[in-house]
Amino acid sequence: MFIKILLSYILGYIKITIEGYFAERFINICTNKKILLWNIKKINQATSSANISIKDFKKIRPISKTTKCKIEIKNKKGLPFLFERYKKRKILLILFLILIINLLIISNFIWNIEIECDGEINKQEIEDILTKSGLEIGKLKSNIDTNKVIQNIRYEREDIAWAGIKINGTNAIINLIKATEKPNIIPQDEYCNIVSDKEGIITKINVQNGTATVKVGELVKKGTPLVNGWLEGKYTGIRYVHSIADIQAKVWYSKKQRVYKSQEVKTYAGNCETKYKIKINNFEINLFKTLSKFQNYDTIVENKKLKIFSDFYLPIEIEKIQNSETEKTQKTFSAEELKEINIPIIEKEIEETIKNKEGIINKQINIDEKEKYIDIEIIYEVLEEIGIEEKIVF
Amino acid sequence: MIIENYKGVLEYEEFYIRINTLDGIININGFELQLNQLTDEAVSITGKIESIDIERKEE
Repeated sequence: MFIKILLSYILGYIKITIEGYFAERFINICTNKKILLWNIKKINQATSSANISIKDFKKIRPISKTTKCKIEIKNKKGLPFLFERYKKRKILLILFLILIINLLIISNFIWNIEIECDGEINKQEIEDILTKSGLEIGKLKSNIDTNKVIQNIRYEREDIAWAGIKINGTNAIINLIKATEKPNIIPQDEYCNIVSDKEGIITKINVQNGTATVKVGELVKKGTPLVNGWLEGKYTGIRYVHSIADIQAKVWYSKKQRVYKSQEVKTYAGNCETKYKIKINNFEINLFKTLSKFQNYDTIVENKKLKIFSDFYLPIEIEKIQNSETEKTQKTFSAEELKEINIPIIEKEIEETIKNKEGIINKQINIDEKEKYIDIEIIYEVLEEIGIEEKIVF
Repeated sequence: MIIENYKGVLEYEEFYIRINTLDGIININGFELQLNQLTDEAVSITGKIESIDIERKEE
């Protein structure tokens, strides 16, 4: 029953007033004939209002005659009445049709290209490859050969292992997965030495094949041979092998930074102005003066592409430029303050370069305080596997 | 309030509704009473209902 009422909201209903002293009789007859009335309300002694659907309205004429009730139409609601009103306005209809056709045409083009990658990648370079292979903003969707584009990407870029293109509405999403760098592997049946690739002190050397040239505790530099790829016997002479060894060394990672005590500090003054720009493809319209009224300011530029639905992008971009005023002040820090601020930053920077974080055995912070500045040096001692294979060339 | 299996509306005022059912007559007192959905099998009444009483049929 509820659905029937909802349906009649769409298909149209009429609000009527029933005038007469036998409204109850009228209602009873209506229900007996399965005519749906709802929201029956008493207005005063003699009149009450009710809603009725268009279809049933034709049937109540005879009932009103028998019960001697006067029926008046108060309101007409619903889509049929709405259409009736707009029937005469033909230009509106034509414009509406043009709008729909335009939308259909526009939706056949690509208006947005997104590049998603698991690692860092130069998006400009990828975009250049895409334009070369025919995927561009403003291209017809049907003209794009995704297989060819993928092939081109893979052909031109060696560091990409997999590329996928998904065309969603008017935007193309390019998924890239970076390839891990291949180590230079020397086949097992070829002869090789092992050479140090880092500077450090050997803490453990365990040779399975070959002859060790360094001992535990020895300092090695980058390029120092660690294991020679041959075995020497008194009677057998020199025999070349593919050397295998586990070598562990203590390696140092250090970073030195000079921090000045008096620094220029930027603070936001709180004043802010926003400007908007409309960009249609490469054509820009400035809605405000481009020059800022502040002397020193930071600018934040936000680009927003207009879209109708979640993935229907239009070729119009709105650029929001936010200038916030800044003030420059000279501030002098004490040595303690500088330490507190800078040491964690430097530590983090170093730790990012260390691959084997469990191997960290020691951390040393050296601070050299001068009148105007302090030097902070942080040294990490890390136990690491070192050594790379190097082919023996005869 | 929904009443099923009713026979007909006997009286309807803004403050008083009398409904005939198989069991007897139901009287509803209140304010701003409305007959919201009136169909052949059920009637729903909304408004501030004060009291309900039933006049049972004598068998």
